[in-house]
Amino acid sequence: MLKKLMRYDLQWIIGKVLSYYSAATLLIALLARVFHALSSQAFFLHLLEKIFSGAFISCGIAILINALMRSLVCFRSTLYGDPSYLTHTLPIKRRTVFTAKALSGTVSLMFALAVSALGLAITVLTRADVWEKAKELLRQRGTVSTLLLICAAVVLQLVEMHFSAVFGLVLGHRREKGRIPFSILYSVLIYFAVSAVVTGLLFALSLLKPEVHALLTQPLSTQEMFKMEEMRFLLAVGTVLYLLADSGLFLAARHVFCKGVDVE
Amino acid sequence: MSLLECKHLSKRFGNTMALQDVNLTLPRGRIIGLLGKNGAGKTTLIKLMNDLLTPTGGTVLFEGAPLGAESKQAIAYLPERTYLERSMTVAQTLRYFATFYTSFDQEKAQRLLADLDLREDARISTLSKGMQEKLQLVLVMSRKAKLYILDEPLGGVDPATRDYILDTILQNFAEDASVLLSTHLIADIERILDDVILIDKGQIAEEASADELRTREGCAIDDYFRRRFKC
Repeated sequence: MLKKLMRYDLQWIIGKVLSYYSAATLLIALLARVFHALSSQAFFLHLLEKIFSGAFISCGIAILINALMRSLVCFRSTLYGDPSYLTHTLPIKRRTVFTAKALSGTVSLMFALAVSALGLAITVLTRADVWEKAKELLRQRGTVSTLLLICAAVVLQLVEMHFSAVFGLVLGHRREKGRIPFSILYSVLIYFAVSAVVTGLLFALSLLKPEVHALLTQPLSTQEMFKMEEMRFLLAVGTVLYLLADSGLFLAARHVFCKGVDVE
Repeated sequence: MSLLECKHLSKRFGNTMALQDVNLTLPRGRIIGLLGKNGAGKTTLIKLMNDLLTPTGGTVLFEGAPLGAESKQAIAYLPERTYLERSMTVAQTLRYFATFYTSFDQEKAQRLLADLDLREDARISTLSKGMQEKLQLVLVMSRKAKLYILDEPLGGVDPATRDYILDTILQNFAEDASVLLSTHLIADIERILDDVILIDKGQIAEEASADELRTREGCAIDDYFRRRFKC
């Protein structure tokens, strides 16, 4: 049932809007790359490269915001709006319904992130100068693991944002009769509270290791960042903390949701 | 064992007590009218029976067990509002129901839709509100449920459509199943009722068989209702 419900939710969230957005983002990324290759030939080609690069950055950010907003609209509409009359009368356990809705949102966000990352790869990584620098970085020991940890941290922070908003919606519905301003307020407060706790814990842990503590207080270059064992340690601990925080947010929101709903 | 049982069921909205200590048993194989004035608590009671509201007190049991995935497989509910996903087509909606409800009879639904001249490739958003309501009725009545709960199925429709709705209900509900029909248009449904539940100010005012009530009061249920709840 989880898979079936998620399939319908993903169709709703991604649907035509995010599909067109993705196609447009990748096309703009490709055009930015083509005009970059031709930019030395004429001024207007250089101008076009700048325009398409700017447009790609806008699209890359917009697709993420769009995926997040559509996930939340789907969550609210199917659990508390008119379509919820159908959702809550489906022969599915309440915890499964919640899991499907929350995970569909997360999958959609990952989809949007993957499109943005692919666009970035097309625009930037295919340039010879950037690719040479990237290869040089990749040859250094520990770069791959550092990159993977950075990716994990970015993904988990996006998930934290999504689950905070979901928890805010659930609390706003449960305690404030679904009034949107309260749901937004709860979401923002939860997000900042969880981020503050994770950052605080990271800072507290860094006090045990002076080399790690120095990373949080002193500026360092990208080259140095990838070389350092301490940076990997910090990222690994951060990843674990965010994983725990995201799981905690998910379980807490599901617990409150499973207490019951009051559909208008 | 009774089909559905409400035990000391209460629901409060802020300072308003919408439903107060309701004790109710729905038997099998009956058509039951849930009758009451606007705001009497009919929809609140029905929503509680469908797990759409959380009770302030008391419980709802279906075949002796609390409401859950199993009871939802056996209860077919028609709410008073349209709830279908507007971006879906009629065919996609049928598939959606067939995916989740094991007892959904897709062929029967297609037959009923053909009677309505409703094209399966039509998008829900292009259908009128009346047509969407008919589609919802078809979806609900195409399930082989143990209990059909229909909230105001006749509200806001013309007399010809009322006949169509009543005929669809009567011809399509599963054998041994019960139908709980909520309405304030009593005259239209009186002829099909086996039992009557009168609800007023969030409390059960009366429970009786339709024939018994008519004999006792010497008038139609509609007249009795008007007399009893006269403003």
